[in-house]
Amino acid sequence: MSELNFYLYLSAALFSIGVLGVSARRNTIVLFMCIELMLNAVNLTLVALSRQFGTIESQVYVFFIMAVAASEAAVGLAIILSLFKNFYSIKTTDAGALRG
Amino acid sequence: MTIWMLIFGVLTLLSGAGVVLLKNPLHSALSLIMTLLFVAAHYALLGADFLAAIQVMVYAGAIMVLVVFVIMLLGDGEEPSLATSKKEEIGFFSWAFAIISGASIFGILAYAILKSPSQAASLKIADGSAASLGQSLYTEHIFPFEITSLLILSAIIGAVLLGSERKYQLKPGRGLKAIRDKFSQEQS
Repeated sequence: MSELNFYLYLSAALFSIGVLGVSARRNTIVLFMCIELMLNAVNLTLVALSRQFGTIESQVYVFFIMAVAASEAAVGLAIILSLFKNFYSIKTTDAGALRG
Repeated sequence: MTIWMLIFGVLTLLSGAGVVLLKNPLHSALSLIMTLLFVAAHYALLGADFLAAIQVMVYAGAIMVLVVFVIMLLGDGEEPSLATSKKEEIGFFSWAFAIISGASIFGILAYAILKSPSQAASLKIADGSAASLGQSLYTEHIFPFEITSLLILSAIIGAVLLGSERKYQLKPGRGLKAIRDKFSQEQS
């Protein structure tokens, strides 16, 4: 297996683990961490492609994705805090006000 | 492909699985920190030195400190007397559905990788140092870079607004005017 294919399969597996976690878990903080896992899988793909094609552009994209992830962390955790303030719980099963 | 890539690959997957499977959110967070450090090791192996350093500092440092701080603040996220929570145990069908969705995503991606035409690796290795990344960032991508600062500023304002007291929060249908009125009332 070539180096690129190894990393593509690795990040596909990492992304799938993230999807599995978002589907299975009920704790919003764990959901948030699974989203970070998926973002990292995408970043790993981009860096592996940068190595493959010898260009710096995809590393620049990874830099931007990290900046977006940092701001997402700030806003997401603030949303989790206000969820706790409103429902006294951060389980997704408790925040079902929109369910008919 | 070196032996280190294989070792770190297995470790990345194991600690990534730990994020999903461990019951305690704090254990999940520690497992995620390990995953992020292993991904940083992959970056270093792939020649992206600057990104490896940034990964350790921003992800494993700043973001995960924030996450662990929130976990410490909220406990496991339940107050027994107040919560209407159902029991923590997740049903069999929920796990079955999750495994099916994760496996099908992996199947689609693996099929796409399998079918994609293979080509030899470029002989030119991209220089992942801070100098060359900064060269590209400050010349070609200067506009997105400046927009990023605007994004982070708006994220800070949003986080402060969401985290502040209830009386400053957005009310439905009134928006920013309500907040401005609250402030001007308190000033006078």
